[in-house]
Amino acid sequence: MTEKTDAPGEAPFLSRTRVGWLATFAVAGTLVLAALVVFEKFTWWKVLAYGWVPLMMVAFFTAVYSGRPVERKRWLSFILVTGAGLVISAWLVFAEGVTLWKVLVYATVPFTALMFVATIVVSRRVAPYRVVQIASAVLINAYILAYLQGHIIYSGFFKYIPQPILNCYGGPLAVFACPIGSTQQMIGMKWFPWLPLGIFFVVGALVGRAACAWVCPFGMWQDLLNKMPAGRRRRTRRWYGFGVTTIMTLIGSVLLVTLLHIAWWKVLVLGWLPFTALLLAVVIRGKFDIPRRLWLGGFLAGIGLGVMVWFRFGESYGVVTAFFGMLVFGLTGRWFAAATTSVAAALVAASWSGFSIGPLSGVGLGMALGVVGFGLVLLLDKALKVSMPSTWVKYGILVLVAGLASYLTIEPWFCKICPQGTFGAGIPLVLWDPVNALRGMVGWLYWVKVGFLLLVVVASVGIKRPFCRLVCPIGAIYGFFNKGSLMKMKLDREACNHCLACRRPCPMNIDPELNQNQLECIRCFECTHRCPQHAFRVTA
Amino acid sequence: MKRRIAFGVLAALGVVAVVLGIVKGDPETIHRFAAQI
Repeated sequence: MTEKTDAPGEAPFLSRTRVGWLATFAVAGTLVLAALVVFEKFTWWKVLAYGWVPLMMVAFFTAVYSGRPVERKRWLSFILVTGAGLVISAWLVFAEGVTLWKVLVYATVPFTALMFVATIVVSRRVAPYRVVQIASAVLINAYILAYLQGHIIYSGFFKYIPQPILNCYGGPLAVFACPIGSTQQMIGMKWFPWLPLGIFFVVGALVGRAACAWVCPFGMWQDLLNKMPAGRRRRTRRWYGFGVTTIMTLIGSVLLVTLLHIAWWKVLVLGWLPFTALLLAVVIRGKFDIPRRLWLGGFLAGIGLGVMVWFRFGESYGVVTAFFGMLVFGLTGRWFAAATTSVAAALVAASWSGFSIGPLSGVGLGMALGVVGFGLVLLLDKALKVSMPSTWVKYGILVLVAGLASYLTIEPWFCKICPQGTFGAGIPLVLWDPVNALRGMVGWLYWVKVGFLLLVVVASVGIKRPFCRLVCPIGAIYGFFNKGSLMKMKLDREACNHCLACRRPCPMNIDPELNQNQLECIRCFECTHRCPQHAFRVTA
Repeated sequence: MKRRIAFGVLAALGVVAVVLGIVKGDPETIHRFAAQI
């Protein structure tokens, strides 16, 4: 029931962590916002009032709650910051003439809800990587004036430069270009992606997968979602998080009904209810982990099914089937994968000839194919038991979806499924729709993306960084470099007393004691800081 | 030591690739995709 917190008065008010935090925000925020004024000809006072001042308020708020989690101060900060948000909202309405409901729906309510969640959820000292991670999340998505300036997305100087992590460049707030989006587009044009690959090589060879911990905003969202209390040990607190999330999703559902004119029962039955039920299940069940093995039979069956669907129904259905097939059947494997994929393959094959009946007809061939597929999957997964670490599934996604499918079809297929793109670009752009054309373009693939995002959100509450570990192609690339990057981790085995203090806080749920430079280590140094023996060292 | 040299070479290759990309006009190509919806 009672949460472990640092003792009040442990750190001075102007501790090094707080000063460093505020300085990071101040310097980086000033640089980016100054660049907006100089290069993009933004009005300086608007940048100051709507950009710099709120940014520093957030920095102050987070500095206060991070250093000394005394209940009274946390709520004082909450009142201060949300009060400032209300003042800015009033300014937007009365001085800028923005419609009241737009300010409330797009700014005041989400901001207040976010601060409320942050005040409840975060209650211990923030690690150094988190400081940089949050600052970079804000800076990479700092185009806060898009709405006021009447631009849809930022198209200035910084959009020529790919950042080293996943953040959709189609988002209204995005400042830089996404490297994997750029790579796919260039591959599609049969143009070698020198610049994005060069960035991957430089960052990977120097610091391995560190960008995933220190820079990536989508990793940050997963980390924060995983802080939501769940399970029997957090019997009371888990309902706060669940309650706030339920209210926020209800607001989102109302937006879908009023702005997109989707039938309310569809939003309720196909969206809100399944999401809330899944979240409730996780909140009751508690934390869990990804499957440990990737089964080769299920993985290949998922790809094979995708290929069949591609030739039968078209490339978009095929790529989506292969993507989810690799994940679902690869991770479940054995009987489930064998049964499901063989029945699906039989149906697809039979549908080719209009379900004609006969020994050599579509149905007959489909059944034969299903039996062969069933046998092959069971041979690999049950008899030979061919499996790999489950996290290797992202290499299949990197090569087949982001690489091969993009090359063959001239379409950025990973972007079309990417949940970060849905969160950063798809949802805000469709809700905002400044050109009155985007809502009309919404098709089935959009809802697949939204569904996948919701799944990642729910999974992140229960599992540590599920997207980074199973799906992210950028993490897959950086992982290659982890074994030998110039910055490495070392464990002094004589000093280690096997207390496992390093294992619990690891955001990737790996065991740093076993291997300090494995593919999944994101160099957050949580283990280094938490080790009571100071047995971990960072070397170059 | 061998590891350092190998990954130093990889980092240097990355720098070369970045420069080559800039010379070949990658930033303009990327901007064309990144600055449109």
